[in-house]
Amino acid sequence: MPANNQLSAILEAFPDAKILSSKRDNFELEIELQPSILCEIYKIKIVYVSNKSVKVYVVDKVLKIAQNRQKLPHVYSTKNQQLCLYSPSKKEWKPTQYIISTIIPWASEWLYYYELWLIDGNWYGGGHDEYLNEELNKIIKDER
Amino acid sequence: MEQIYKTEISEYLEELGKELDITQKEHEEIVKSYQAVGNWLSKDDSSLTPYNPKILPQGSFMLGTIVKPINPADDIDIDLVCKLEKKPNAWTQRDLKIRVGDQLKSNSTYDRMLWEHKDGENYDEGGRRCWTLKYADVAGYHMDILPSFSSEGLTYLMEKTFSGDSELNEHDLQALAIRITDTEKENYSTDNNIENWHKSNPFGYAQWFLQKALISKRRMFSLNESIDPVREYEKEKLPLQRVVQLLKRHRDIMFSSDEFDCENRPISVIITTLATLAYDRSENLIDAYSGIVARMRSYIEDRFNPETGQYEKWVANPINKVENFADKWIDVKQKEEYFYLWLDRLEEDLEKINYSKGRGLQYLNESLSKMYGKEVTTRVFVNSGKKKMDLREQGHLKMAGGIGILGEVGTKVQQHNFEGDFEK
Repeated sequence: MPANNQLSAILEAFPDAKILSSKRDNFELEIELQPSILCEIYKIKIVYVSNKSVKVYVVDKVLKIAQNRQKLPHVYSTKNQQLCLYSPSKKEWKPTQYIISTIIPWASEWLYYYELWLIDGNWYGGGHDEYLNEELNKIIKDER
Repeated sequence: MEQIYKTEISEYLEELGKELDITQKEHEEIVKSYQAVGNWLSKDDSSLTPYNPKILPQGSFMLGTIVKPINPADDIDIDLVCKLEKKPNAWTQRDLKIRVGDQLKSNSTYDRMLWEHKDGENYDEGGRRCWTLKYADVAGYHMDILPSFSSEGLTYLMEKTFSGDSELNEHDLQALAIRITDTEKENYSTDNNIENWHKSNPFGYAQWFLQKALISKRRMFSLNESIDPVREYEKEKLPLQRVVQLLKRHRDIMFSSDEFDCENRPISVIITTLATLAYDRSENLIDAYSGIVARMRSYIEDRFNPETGQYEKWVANPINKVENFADKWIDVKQKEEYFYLWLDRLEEDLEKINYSKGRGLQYLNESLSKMYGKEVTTRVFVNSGKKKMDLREQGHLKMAGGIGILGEVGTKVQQHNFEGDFEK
């Protein structure tokens, strides 16, 4: 989908979005998300390349890590705070889809489940099991 | 406070209230148990049958304000009235107490349950006012059975309907009173005139409470709805009932700390009475809670006692104005101090709740955990997370524009799977 179409659809729902760069086949912008009135407000950066990829980062703060964990859940990189919002192998997102109706709601969900994750280190938002190995180890240990 | 924020925070408090409450299964179990006691006391060959004995719930079970103990190993207390309609003239308080006890003991199960409470310490004479059955192994509750007399008119009054708007009729209220036994009374084993026995009015109190708790003044109700021995489990509770649950739990958590002498913590009847007086029929839980906490202390009266020449703190029994629920504060100063400490803490804690907007769910979780206990609080947050996930899977979850609030308006959130863990 042309970068322009994506961009104008986002701006319609998020008029306060801050455009960092916008070219014919790519753009970067920042929007603020608050999944619930009780949640913090997060600034996220969206980097889109036409017909290729979309990347999402949390940019305005260093995200805390739950007490019983070492790294963030469902990210490509804890350091860059790049969120992993869908399954690439299942092709849950394709560049023909609108970011505003897929990536952005998913990012809001990610932030909501991230705050719950801070409470007890468990991910309640579904997707692949981050702590599968840990559970297997526990089962093996319990059986010994 | 904005409406959206009030709604959101009220939902968390409502769910918290549900977690503190007994479950439907527990409720049904309890009802079944005390009905069985009632049947045993009134069966054909029971020595009490001529006096038409009935077992009726009272206290927090009747008011719908019960909270589970902090420690799951502790028993839930269920307060019951064993009400007889007539008595032989000669019976003293002790006769009534012992007769009820004997009838219970004639059943081998109840006999054992009387033994199992406090290792049989109260097996012979019962407690000060009650017989206590310990439902130990399976259930985790005990039942305090209060032997009493009441007039035959009581049943009629309970069926009579009231509305939230009607004035409580003093005459009716007094007719709801019962006479109870008390081993510490001088006339315990001598006086057969019930006019000289201690008077108690749990049903009048319940009627007062329910009338104040109704959101709509127009709704009609009869006391039977709440003391009916086969009463239904209430899934939805009135805001005042929820607030009382939250207040009692807050008290339980605060005074479980070693810095306090647990003996002198605020008692439930004072909490319930002040909360009821301070309630303004707000429908929204956070409004009801805030209003009650803000106004509660203003309902503690200072009354001059001409006998001592001193002012005393009073929390009058609303249906027996000469009874002071706070009478023990006069001798045990710490009880009064603790009550005010608790009110101070409630106000501080409410501030924290009211300033949790935009601070993160983890912040609210931490505040509520300190006030109501970590386990129940975390369960509320986990459940709300799971509920959102179910909504998305059913295609009902939406995201609003502007700032991306998840809820019932905006763009539908499509199905997807979070992945990740690509780091080595």
